[in-house]
Amino acid sequence: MSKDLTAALDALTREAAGLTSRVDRSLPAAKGAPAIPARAGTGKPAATSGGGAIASPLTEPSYDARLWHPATTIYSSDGLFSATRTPLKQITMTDANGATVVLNFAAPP
Amino acid sequence: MFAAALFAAAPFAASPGSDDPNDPGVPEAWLTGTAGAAIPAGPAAVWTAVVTLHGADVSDQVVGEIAVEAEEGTARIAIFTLRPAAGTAIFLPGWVGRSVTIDIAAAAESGPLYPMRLFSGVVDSPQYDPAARTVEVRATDDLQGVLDALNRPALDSLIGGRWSPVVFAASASGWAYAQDRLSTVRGSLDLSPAGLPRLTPWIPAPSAPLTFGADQVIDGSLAVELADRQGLVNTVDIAFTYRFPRLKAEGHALTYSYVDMTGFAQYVIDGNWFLQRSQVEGAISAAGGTVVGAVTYTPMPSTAVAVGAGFWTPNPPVDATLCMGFAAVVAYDYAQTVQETHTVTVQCPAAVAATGVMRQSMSGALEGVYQDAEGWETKAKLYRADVESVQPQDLPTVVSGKTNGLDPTLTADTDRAAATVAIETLVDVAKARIWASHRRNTVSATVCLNPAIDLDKTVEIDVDGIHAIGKVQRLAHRMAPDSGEATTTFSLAICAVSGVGTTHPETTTAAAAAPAAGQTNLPSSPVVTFNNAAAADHNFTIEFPAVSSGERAAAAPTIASTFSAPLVEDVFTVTL
Repeated sequence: MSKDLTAALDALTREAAGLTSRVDRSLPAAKGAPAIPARAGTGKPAATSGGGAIASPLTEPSYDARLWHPATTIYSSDGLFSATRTPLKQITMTDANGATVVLNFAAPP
Repeated sequence: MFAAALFAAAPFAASPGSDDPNDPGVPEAWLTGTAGAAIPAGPAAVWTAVVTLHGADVSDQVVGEIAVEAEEGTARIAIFTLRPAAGTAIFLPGWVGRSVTIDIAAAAESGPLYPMRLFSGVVDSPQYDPAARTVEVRATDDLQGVLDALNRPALDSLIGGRWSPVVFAASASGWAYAQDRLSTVRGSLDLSPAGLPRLTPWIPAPSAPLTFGADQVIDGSLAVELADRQGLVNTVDIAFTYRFPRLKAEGHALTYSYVDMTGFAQYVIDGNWFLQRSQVEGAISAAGGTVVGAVTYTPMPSTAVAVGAGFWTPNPPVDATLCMGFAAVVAYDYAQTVQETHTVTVQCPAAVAATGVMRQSMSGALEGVYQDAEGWETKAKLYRADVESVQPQDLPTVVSGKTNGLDPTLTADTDRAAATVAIETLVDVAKARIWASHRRNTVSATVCLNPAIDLDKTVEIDVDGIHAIGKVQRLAHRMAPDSGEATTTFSLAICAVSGVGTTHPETTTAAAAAPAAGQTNLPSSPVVTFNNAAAADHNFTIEFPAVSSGERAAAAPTIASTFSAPLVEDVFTVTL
């Protein structure tokens, strides 16, 4: 038994000589990266005017759009004469860019 | 030729060494092979074997033959039988692992002269024979145990060669690690008769120190065995795959102008809108890009501009939010998988010419590990956009108009250097394998026991028309004190292909360079659209082109290389 074992061990040693831990290796299939399509981005204009400065000339599209302060009566210093006036309150204009320009006037004292 | 049996009773011969019985030196003739240890030397009349067990001289108890066998790369084995004195109580299990030495010496009245060590080892298994009252001792030099006791640096120093955890088991140690390294070396490892590890190159020594002619070789012992063709390997194909991520940064150069001072007045007259700067940056961000540095805007006029019959008047607070155009470099980061296939051919052209292609193949693979891989694209984007302050470990430089690649910092055991070492290790394995397959021719002979014959020796034989010079591959010393016979049988490994003593040079092992990460031109430019007409939606849109598949899809370059495997053919001629 012992002799057989020794012989077996000897045989194993001989077999082990030259045997290495090297094994053929390969990689699993790579996970494909998704394609990157064309990428578009849009910038919308802010709510404020895109026109910036008032572009001359200003044009009043409609006389009827004018607004007036309430009519008041003015008198001469001796009280003999009187007149009624209606002060301009607002004019709506359109500039060269087509933007609306509103002019507001104060009521006279 | 010699007849070994004659030696037992050979008369005292002229001393090849010193006549002084107190001279501890070994006769030079033993070392050169011109005389065997079995030839009486000095004042000795016959040889004697000196066997010790656990430090005690048990030579007197030896009965029968003493055999010592050694072979390249394996443990040295000794077998002998002891017959202890009658009535001696012995504890056989305690013998296992005890030290054993065997020497051969010239016997003299004053004691053994010129002892030369044939074996040092330990008892592997004692076997008791009740009928004969003898103990057969099998001993081994414990080559595996000795190597197991050495750490990696010691084995590296002893063996040399190459090693890679990509090719071999990373956890290998001791014996297994030594076997891995040895597979890359054109040499054999064994223990000397004194039990010291040594590596002996396969290439024969420049001049054979041991020469045996017809006067030394015992009748009928000379044998020649040639390697079969099937076992030859002269071409090894290696396929090595290396996969790793490559980081890329696109640098889109954007230069846009929708109006200049020449056409400014007409632009105003036409009622077109001006571009808001926030629209530019919003569009870039919405497209997934990040601005490198800052956008350079073309400002609005700072003075009034005559427009038709009137004027365009600056409005500084508002004009600062507008622009007449801009220039910017926009970055876009992404990663690509690169899978290199290295097809390496290791071949000995002369061997192929002689026997045709005898092919083997090997393969290896390594996947580069990038610690920062998870979410790298997002990290890069956030960092470039100043949202994240911590820079990713690797970030390719943005080059205007280019896609710039960068191979990131991988872990040390998976980086480019690791791949290179792995490939070069496989190449050396292939070279050693080719050489080993061509040294399977053997010339064997038996001579009067010569303790100088060992696995580290180159021996020359010139007998009966056979002339061979090669490294000792296998040997067996046999001593029979009862009959007086003492012989050494040895086999020489002969490397032979096409010519006597021809040297086939090798190509230095150096892995071929792989394509490095570089720069490529962006195939097309971004498309900018500004709906600036008065009645339009005034939206500003940038469309960056799709990433070309060559930049994004897994790249699979093939790197081919060829190496010449070396062979040094031994002297081997047969004259009929």
